[in-house]
Amino acid sequence: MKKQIVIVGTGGQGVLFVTRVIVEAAFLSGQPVISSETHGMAMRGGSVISQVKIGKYLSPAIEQGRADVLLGLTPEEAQAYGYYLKDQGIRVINSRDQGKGMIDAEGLARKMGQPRSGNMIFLGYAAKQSKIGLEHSKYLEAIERLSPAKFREQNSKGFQAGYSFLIRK
Amino acid sequence: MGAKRKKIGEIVMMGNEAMARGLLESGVQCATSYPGTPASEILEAVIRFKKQEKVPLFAEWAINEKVAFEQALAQSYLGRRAAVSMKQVGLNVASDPLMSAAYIGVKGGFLIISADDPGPKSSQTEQDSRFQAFFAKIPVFDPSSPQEAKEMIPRALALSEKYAIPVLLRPTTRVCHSRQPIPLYPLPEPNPEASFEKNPARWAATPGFRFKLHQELNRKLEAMARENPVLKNWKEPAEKKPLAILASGVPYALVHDFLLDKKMLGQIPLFKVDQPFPLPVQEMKKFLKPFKSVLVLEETYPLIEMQLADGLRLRGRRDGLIPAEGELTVDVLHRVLAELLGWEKMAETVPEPKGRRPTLCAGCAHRSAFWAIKKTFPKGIFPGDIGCYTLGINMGVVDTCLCMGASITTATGLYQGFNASGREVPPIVATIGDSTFFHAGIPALVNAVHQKAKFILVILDNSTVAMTGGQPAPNLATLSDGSPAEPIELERMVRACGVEFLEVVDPYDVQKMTTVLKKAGAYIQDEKNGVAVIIARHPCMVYGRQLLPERPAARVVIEKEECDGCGFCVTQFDCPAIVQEVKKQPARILEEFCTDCGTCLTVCPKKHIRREAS
Repeated sequence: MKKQIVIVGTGGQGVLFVTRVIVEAAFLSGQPVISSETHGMAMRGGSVISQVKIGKYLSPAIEQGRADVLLGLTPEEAQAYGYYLKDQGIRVINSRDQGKGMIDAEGLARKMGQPRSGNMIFLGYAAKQSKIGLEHSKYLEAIERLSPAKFREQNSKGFQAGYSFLIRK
Repeated sequence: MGAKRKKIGEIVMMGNEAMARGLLESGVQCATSYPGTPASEILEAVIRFKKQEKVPLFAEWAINEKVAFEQALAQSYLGRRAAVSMKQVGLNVASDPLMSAAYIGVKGGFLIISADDPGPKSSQTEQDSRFQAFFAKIPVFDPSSPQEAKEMIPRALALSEKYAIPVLLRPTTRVCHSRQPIPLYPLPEPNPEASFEKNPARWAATPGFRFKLHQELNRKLEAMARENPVLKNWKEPAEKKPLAILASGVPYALVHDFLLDKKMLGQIPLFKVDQPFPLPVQEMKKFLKPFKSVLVLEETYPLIEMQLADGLRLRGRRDGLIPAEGELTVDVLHRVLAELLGWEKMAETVPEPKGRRPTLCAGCAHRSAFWAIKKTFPKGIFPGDIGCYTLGINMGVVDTCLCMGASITTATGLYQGFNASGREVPPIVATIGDSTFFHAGIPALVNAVHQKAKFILVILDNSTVAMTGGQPAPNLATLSDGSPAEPIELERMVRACGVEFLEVVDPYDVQKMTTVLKKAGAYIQDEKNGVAVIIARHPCMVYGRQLLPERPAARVVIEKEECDGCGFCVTQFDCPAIVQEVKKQPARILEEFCTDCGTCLTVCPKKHIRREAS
């Protein structure tokens, strides 16, 4: 299996956590995986970008126009970093707008009464739409392992809600 | 390490955590550091693993990198394995002990981890720590991945012990902040040995002995170059090709993946360098001579290239094929190979978007302090420093930023320059965080007081090292393992520097902060007075939550009907909780970000930001 995934958003949105869950799910599936993260100055509300490569790679760096999947936790960052995606690559975006590959994860989170689980709802939706090829159960196991005890249930519920979210045509 | 150890598991770890695990698996008994991106998580993880595994090692944050280096080195004098980690500019601060330690040598294995930041992404420079190793004449390892960084640690410590020399491990951001599955091995039995053998000719060497130690160091380097295993795994290709690639560190991983994706792995001879200094130069040249040209891929300066310069046709940073600045990205690599192999011209690379600029958090008291400073001294000059509060630049309240502690020395120099020129001295207000003050501000303040420099110093005290993840500062009463520490009270420290004017204020009280600033401004006007210091104290919104006062019950609101959309609050106050989507339309408070700190009530010139009646 070979997959190159770019995840973008802004500091404080949980881009790092989404990245970690995907990496852990790949690891639990027995796949070699490597990812990069943004830390430091940019975390204070700036643009944040993570890269994940599943397969026998040594580096997490992804070349422009080579990513199989782009996950945008904001439409603005998804737009700005869109050049990473290859032709026919899959784009999943967290947005208040509606359209192909889009979900309003924050809106859904508020409706569910757990406003902080937008990132997990988004990930659930992305897991299904992006065809990364990792099993649903591996994501759940990864969320279980990585979530602090008090957010564990909320995160799994968020992921499930996103996963079963139906795209309105 | 002797017999082959048995793998006991595998978990996904960040590069910095992998290195921390590597230190413990190598029996390191002392780990020190000063936080700095991208190295901060190394010691954080050591401290966490120490608690989890109940290992009796000394692991603590030091006041700065020089101090961290020296206290770890002394533990090596006792025969204990010791490590010190820092970011690249931290090694500048520790370069004094580094240069001497190379001559004097070590006893227990001594490892320096200096993390570089090509780009730079979160640093003042993108300097190459491998050149610090070259300058100090010590060996350096250059890992290409988190896994490899961990594997290199026992090798580096063994080399350090064999030659009684400090050894440098140089990861870069892409190693420190990458995550991958890491194999785990058991931790060795703790070694309780610690003894100091007196040997003044070494540990206290005077210049005459230093000359001998320098001769000894040069002999060590020759022997280590001969032993550098670089040629061991190199195989002569069956037929000589026109091009060979020599790669070290992250660029090796990049070129490997690039060739893998292009299904070209094995077609171009690719040689890896783990230890870029000291190199067995003559043997490498003999091996590489038959190739028409040799592409050297390394970050960030040309260390390997310089050592192999004569007699080979090298391509790389020195001939301009690879840009002399910036990260060696896979896009740069693609362009370089396209040129060398005569591929058709590539489409232009999209420049990395600027992205959103970072800002201080909503409710951050640094913003409140900056606001009061800006309001009180609209014509002031504002020397700033290194930390979250460098972001005061967004508000126009940081005019200079050089390096740790330089706000105070810059303020001193600016004052003296204006004063000596006979010009009127504008108000000078320097800002520095509490941890940065302890790091490098104290000698600067003593100097300023002693020379009667007249400026205001605002110490932004949030009692943590916030920018790098909330590490403890020396004003706290506990050490990292929870045991009691002697808290060094900022007020006493400032007084001890000879400061006479000292006020402590919570900057959320903008009125009071402004009054105190005015008082300080008047104080420094007096001929006989010197530096005025204000401690602006409020806990960090992120890392000091448990210390924060209760949130005000009444919410902060912008009256939509009243707001005329002048945009003053948005451009001047730079708070992420206040937005104006459309120019000239009313500004809006984002409830999910707003902390109701209320500082912005003093910002709106028309008083249209107010508290809701509770």
